Amino acid sequence: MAASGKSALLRHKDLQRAWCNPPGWGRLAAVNHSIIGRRFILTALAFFAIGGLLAMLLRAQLATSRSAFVGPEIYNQFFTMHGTVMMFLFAIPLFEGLAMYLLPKMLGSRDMAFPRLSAYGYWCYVLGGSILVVALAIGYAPDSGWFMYTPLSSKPYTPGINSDVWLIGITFVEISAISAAVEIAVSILRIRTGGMSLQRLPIFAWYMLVTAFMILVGFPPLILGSILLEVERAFGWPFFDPTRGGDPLLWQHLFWMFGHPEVYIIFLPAAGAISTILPVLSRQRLIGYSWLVASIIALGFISFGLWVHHMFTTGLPHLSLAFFSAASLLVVIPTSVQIFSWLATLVMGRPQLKLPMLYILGFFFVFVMGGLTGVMVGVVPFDWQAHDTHFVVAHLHYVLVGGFVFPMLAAAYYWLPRFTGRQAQHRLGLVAFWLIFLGFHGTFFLMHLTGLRGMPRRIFTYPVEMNWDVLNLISSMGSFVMAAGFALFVVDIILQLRFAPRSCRNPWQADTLEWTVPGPVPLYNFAALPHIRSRYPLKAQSGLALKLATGDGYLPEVRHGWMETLSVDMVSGRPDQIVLLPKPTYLPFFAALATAVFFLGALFKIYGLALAGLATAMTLFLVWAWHSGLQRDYGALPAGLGLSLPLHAETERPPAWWAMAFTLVADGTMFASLLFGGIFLLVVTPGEVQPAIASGAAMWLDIVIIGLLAGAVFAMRRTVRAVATPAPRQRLIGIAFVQQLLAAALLVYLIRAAPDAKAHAVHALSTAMLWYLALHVMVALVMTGFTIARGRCGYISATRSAEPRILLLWYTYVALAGLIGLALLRLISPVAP
Amino acid sequence: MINWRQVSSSPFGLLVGFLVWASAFASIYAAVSLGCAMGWQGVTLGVITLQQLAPFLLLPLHIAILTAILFSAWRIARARHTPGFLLTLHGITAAFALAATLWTSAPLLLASNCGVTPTLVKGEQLEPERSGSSAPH
Repeated sequence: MAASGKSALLRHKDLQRAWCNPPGWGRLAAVNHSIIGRRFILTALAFFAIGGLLAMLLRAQLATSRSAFVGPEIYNQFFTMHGTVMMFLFAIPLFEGLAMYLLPKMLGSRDMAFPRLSAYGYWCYVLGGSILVVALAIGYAPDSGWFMYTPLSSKPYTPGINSDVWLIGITFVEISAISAAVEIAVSILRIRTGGMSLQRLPIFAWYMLVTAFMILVGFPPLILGSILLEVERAFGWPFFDPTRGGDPLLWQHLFWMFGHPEVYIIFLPAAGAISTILPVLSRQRLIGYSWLVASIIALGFISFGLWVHHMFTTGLPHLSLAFFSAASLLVVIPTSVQIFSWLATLVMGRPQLKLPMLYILGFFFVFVMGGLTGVMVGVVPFDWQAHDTHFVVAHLHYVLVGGFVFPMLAAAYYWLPRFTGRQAQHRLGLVAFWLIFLGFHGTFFLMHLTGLRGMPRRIFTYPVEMNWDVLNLISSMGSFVMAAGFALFVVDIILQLRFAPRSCRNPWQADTLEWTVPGPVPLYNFAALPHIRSRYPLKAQSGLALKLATGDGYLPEVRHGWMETLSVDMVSGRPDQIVLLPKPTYLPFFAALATAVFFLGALFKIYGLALAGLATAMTLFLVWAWHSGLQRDYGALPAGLGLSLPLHAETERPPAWWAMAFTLVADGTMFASLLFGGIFLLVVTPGEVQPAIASGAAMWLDIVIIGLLAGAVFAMRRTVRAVATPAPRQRLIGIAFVQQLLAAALLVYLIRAAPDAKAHAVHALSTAMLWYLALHVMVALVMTGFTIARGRCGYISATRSAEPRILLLWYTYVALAGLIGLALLRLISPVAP
Repeated sequence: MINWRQVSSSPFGLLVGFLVWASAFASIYAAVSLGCAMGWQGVTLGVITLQQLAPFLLLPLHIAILTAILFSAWRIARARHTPGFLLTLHGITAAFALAATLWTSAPLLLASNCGVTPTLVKGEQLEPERSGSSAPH
């Protein structure tokens, strides 16, 4: 596709027509990454305001001893919701929004890989967050702390709906995190512009890539834990009840397997922003790019080996303590590699003390202090003294506010001209910075001392005899100063949106691609996609923005009204597919509404309604999937710069194949967490080992199920090979369907014959395992039926073979999970024949 | 047989070193916990107990794998003259993973296996350090 003789203006109009978004109610149908990214950011900021207001109320209560501002019940709801809102509804969605908005522009793409998934994730986030906030407004908010420890959050001690609101609301919101993680990972690895090899990837993309994989592995243990706890509360399955073989520590393990990596999941995107902004404002290329990438990967892994350091006071064996203490200290090394890389870049450059840089300096100051107290609490004897005191509250705020809020404020001022197309003004922002910085230290530095003087966290009041009044009063005053700073920041941004003069295209003289996009940003980002020859394209390729505006690049023309972008080879960045992106659609919005009906049905124990919501959501997903793909082959099409490429539907591994692979990583982690739970309960269960499978269920039944699942995999492999010939292909898929159907029937039989799940935790866990397997087989059945129908309607051909290949991935996973899961159940059922 | 050349030229190859670290971390932790629960301290095999033997078998195995990964990266880099971005990263992450494995396994040499600090054991009276009977977590 060579650039035609069209003027830049006509080309722009064509693109505008193809990429336009309907006005009015049509805004609910928006799927474009710029729109969804902005919505994520604004919604996260609204939740930040709610979380901040709660913090003010907490500090008002603690300002003096024996305060009667709020009672203990309300105070418990406030601190639980403060932590929950800040962690789940502010921090994660904010960086997801920033990533969605920026990544395609940085990667030289027109959108993310799955725009409808972004929109669905956004609506899940808004609706899930709303459940929590409405519960707070009517006085039924969660009140067991943001980590919901059992038995406090269990039915006997929290009989109301409060814990259910947390478990269901947060699980709903986590759909958004998982979908964003899949979206981000596939987009970074595949949806880039030509020439952008891995070594030319903007450093922010590396950070987001590792973060996305951390979400895929870090969130499933909490999703599983939340499901198990909700099932315990709703149906009495005693996973965490020690009187029936359960153990509250299982919840702690599952929670902190998520909770500790979560800290790094929040920190890494912020560090990515620093690694992007600091070199630009230092007028010096980032020093140690390869070492930084290696340290991000190291951090991503090691942060998963730290979860037990939140459990040092639970009576663990010495070796376990030493093991996790060592890992806690080790994590300092990759973090320090980054800090030293940034310092070296600063020292070697000519830094400009602009407002974003001021926030970065604030970050250094605050985050390093938080890191040092982190080393202190990573040392077991000190942790035993400081555990659950205000020292830990101070530490976590130094890490999270230092490691996330300060860099995000730097990012806000740095990228503001990109969002608004207006020049950044820094006068009011400077005052806001000092209020936030001084107010922060006034609040939290003194909390170290309050903690060391023995003040526990989560107490609603304290006696005057403890002599904590002065420290607490100063902390409370500091918090109000900090709040004034944030309020001023908001005022500043609003004023800039309204009154700041127009900005030039690249006000910072930066060297990443987002600064070639015109402002205000068009929905398609680039009139033509660039070919990249350097990690610093704006420096290495002069006049790039103008060339792209005149159509000198990939995909400069609109064809058939399609919305097109490039997909590339992961390593080399060589273009290999043209990806067709979906038009605006209401499907994500309605699918999220149906999902909300499912979760609300589960919350209010109206299970018929929940099932109806689930069925509607599934139907909408199928309609959504039906609208993807092509009913005929187009062959290689011109893609610009003399290149011809196939459409993604005509390749073996389109982005959807990778999305399925990454989704299975998350699913596999959830399964591994379930296995961990089984082994954990087996080991800690005192007395006789309980049979996990009904004694009547013979071993041959397991062998038949595994045989059927393996047979289905075999049939699907042959389907993929025979994809070009419709009759054998449809017959083989039919055989696979029947095998899955029989496996599903046998699994349902095992569930019905299983011992009473309410009687013992091992029974509960084994029944949960059987349900897990059965649900996966049922999903396989739905997907298989769908693929058969697609085959009949001409969506599958010799070249359009991705759908059976995606199905094969699912089949293989289900067969492996079946083998491992059933083997574990046999292992823990020594009395069954 | 693993084709290291292929592994080192894939972005997923960057994960290999730390996957081995994760395997070492998880398997040694699991072996110690299971051993404490199942009384492996009482099973003597010559001069050492099964409880001591399990982690000391797992650790060298993982170190050997990591050393092999590092060696293969070095050999491929030497053959290519210019190692390239991915291979350099592959080497750095594998070296880091090896160091991390040694560091996180160091407590094996220092801490008692199943000992629990008495004041922290739930619902029990203070007693001298126990061994072989603590619930693993």
